[in-house]
Amino acid sequence: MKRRRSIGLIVLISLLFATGCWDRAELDDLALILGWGVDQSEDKTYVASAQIAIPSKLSTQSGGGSGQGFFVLTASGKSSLDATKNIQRKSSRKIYAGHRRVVCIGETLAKNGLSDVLDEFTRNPDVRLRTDIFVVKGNSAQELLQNPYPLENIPALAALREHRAVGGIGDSTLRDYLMDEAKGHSTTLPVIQLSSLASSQGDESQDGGQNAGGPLGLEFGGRAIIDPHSKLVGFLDYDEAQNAVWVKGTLRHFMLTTRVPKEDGNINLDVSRTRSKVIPTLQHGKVYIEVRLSGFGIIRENTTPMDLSQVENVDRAQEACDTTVEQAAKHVIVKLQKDYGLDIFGFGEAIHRKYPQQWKAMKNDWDKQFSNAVVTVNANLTIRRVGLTGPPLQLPRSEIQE
Amino acid sequence: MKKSMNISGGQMYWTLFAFEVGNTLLLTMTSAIREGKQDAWMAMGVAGGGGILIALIATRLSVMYPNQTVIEYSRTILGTWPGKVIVIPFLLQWYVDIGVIMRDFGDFIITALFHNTPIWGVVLLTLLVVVYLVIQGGPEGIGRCSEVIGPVILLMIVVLIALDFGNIEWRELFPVYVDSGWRAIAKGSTMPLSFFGESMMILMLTAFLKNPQTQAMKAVWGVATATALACLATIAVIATFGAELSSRMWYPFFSLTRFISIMEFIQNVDSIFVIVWFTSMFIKLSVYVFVASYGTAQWLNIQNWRKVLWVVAPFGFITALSIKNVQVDVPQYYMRMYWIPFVLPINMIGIPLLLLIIGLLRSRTSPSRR
Repeated sequence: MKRRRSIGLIVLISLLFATGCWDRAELDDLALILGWGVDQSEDKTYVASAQIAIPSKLSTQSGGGSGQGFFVLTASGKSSLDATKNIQRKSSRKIYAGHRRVVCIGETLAKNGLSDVLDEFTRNPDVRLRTDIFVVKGNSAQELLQNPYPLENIPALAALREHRAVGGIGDSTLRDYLMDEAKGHSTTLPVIQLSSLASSQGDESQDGGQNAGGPLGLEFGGRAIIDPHSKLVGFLDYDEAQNAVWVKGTLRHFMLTTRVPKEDGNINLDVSRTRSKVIPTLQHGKVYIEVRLSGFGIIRENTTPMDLSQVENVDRAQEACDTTVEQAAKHVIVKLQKDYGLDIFGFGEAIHRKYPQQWKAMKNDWDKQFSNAVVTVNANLTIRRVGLTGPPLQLPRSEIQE
Repeated sequence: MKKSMNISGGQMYWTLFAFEVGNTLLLTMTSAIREGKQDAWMAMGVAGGGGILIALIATRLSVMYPNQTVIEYSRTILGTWPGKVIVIPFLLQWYVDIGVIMRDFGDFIITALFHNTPIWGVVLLTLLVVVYLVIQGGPEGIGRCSEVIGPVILLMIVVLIALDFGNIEWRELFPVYVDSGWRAIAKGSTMPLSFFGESMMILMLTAFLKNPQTQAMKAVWGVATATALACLATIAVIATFGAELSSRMWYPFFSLTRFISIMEFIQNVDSIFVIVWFTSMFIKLSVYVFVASYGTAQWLNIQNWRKVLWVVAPFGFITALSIKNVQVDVPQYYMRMYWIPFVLPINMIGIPLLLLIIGLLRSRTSPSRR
């Protein structure tokens, strides 16, 4: 009887807590941040911009669209989160960063070092590590976020999708960045920039093609080189970036256009399953690094007169591709060795794994030794398919080279 | 009284498994990785091996006195007063740790899910459920509960590790051994060992087995299963985040579950881990609360152990709320100054071993005692 009474009491007390939850957060009460930008102004204050989804606009999208589905709030503060506090002052709903997918870092801030703004990403339990992080080239992150993008309701997501479409790793960028920086290595971040949707690359002037006319959109602009102190030190253009990422081993696929020697025209190869193997050798105190790149390709375009139903022509095409890849990869490695002296390829880690004992002595001045390392690149692409035609259909038989 | 509270071998297995796995996964990985770097899984394995050894000692000892808990047979072995004195460290450990477990629990729930809920709300509600289970079911209730929850926990952890497979970079696990060495591995294993070593609860639980002689070993297997999962989870964490990054996270395995994203479709599975941890902690707390109450009752010769519960539970509640900051204070003071230097060598290894040796000597000299 007594026990029963005590249990009854427990049940009664429990009821007190069943009236509701403390952490009730309806979707209607939240302002969901999907894109986030941080800039640094000249007096070192941080300017944060939040690209926030407008739920009503998103849901009426099928009914013929009624204006843009996002708006941008901007405020400044002593730190990234201090600025968030000031953004909250402008927002009727509670700012919620749990769905933040894309973070854009202004160029000035990146040059001053972006470690200050990253702490929150791993400390705040609302925020997920799965975030894509970009360096904004040319403009401020705020300007970039304010610009609409025709295909995406939330323009920031366009950056993420472009990053994926060009064969990048997408939203595990932040993790990879933190892993490299935590080890004390240099690394790269993808670059996003505003550019005219209508004009071609050739028309672009110095300011990223903004004066070329037409609506502006987001353009994937290669990668930014970040030194071990998380400061931006330079940029790689798109082709250099793709090759650098391939050497590092995180590229998924890419398009290669190359000239075939002694032919008039180009071969375009769609390369997937890109792999990289880094084989370091230490000999007489010198570092030798062999990079083996491989991948499987499909020929998408052939403007040479070669008949690709012939084995030797395919072999020539493959050879031409291998040479191009080797040269391009070598070029970017040498550029990093000579111009920056920063190992962004993970060569240091490869040595660490193969020569763990020697690495202990090397790791402190690795970047210096990296500059003096002898690097060879071997590419070995396999052409798996040549498309639906062997010889080019548009040429008369007499011009086709068998 | 005891005869009415029976647990089976399977229940014992799942109880020990659930008891060990949750806390070890969440709280000990960081310290193992900090010392052992990419070889932290070895440290986990070593710690688990130590835990199994402690479980073996406890089992061997308990089986010698099949119907008695450690509070009773310590008296049988050493005599009334020395026997009473030697279990005081146990009682102290049980009482204090209930509060710490509960605070760890509450803080994690608040960090992971409910940011605005007051800590006392989480702690009180949990405690009420625990008290209910212990009052109503005693060890039998805990055993039955574990039998249901244990397999679910096991399955969920395996699923979580499997879902993470796409994020794994095996090269992060290399070079093996060279960076750490046995010293670092041993150092890294102390924290997990002090959690695996809680398997010394077997000293109290074996007495409730239906058939101690044949079923007691199941508890050791429960610890072994927890060890295997902890090793696997550590490998997954290091291969996902690298040793350097994961050593700076409080809850690396939790971060790993938050990182899972398969085709942008299977995401936010961290709530699964919260369930795993919640249930595992629930079993652990229940065992602690039961053992503390029952042990105190036996120690003071109180007939109805359930009455002691009304001291144990409020005491735990107050302890839990009086800790200032569980992420910093508990590792800095509690773990470093009490748990690892005293509980680990004395409660988990020293006393059980001492009792076992003396018990074995006695049974050899006068077999009639048994």
